[in-house]
Amino acid sequence: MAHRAMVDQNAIKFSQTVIAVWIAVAGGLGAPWLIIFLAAALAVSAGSPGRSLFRLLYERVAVPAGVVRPRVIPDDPAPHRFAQGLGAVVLWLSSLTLLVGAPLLGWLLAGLVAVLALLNVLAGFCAGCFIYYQLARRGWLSRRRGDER
Amino acid sequence: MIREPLLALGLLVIIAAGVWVWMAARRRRVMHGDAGDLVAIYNPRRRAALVLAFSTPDCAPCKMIQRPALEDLERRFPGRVVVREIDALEAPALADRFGIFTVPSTVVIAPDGGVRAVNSGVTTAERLAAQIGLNGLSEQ
Repeated sequence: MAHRAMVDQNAIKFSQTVIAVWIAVAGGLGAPWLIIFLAAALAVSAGSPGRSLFRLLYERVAVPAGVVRPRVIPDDPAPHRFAQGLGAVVLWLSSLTLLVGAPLLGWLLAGLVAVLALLNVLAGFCAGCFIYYQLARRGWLSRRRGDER
Repeated sequence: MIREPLLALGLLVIIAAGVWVWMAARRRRVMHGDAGDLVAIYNPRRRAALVLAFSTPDCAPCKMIQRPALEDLERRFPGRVVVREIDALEAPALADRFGIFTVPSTVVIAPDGGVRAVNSGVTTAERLAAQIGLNGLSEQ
């Protein structure tokens, strides 16, 4: 029997909420170093999920405290890691622009990541799916045939 | 020190408002359209609401979250709703007709061909049932 990967959907929503709140706090404090730290944490999370700070917070704090309950369903973890990688890239760009003296652009990029994370949590809007769809419909991505119902 | 974050927030709010107005205008145009031709193709007996579910082969939430929600809807309201899954990349004209700009997206069409709702992103079975007008009806 083929092995199907399992993904905890609430862990994803938890990490997206943490990201959005973190960026809001960083903006509120005017603290670019918090964005740099978040970019690094997201990069680690995308590259090595086992060492993810968000996963650690989720498993060691949020779940034991009863803040959130796991909701594990069969899913492909690759798109979620891609989305985290994309978030990390945008936050690194944000960090870079904040460091080189273009704070408005830097905070705008960070804010964009927060908005997209919140959109996924609150409205089920998948930014990665949106980007993929827009690129594919313009023929900029090769596509494989799917399993139509 | 926090002048720039506040400015960025203001810009994001303006951009979000612009996107919202643009989407609302697109949705209003679609909602006034008639989809009787699609009802005739996908739901010729016209006894049930039609839900067009736009997806792509690489869209994980479409398969893992939206599809189970649609199956749940069909299971709870047998004979009252017909779901048709459509590859948005294989049917770009149909996707454009409903202003589909992301996946998953769902379009709810009444048996008379009236477009009841266009949803962008994952939509729950409960929300779809409400849009179809099945709330309050007994589930089977």
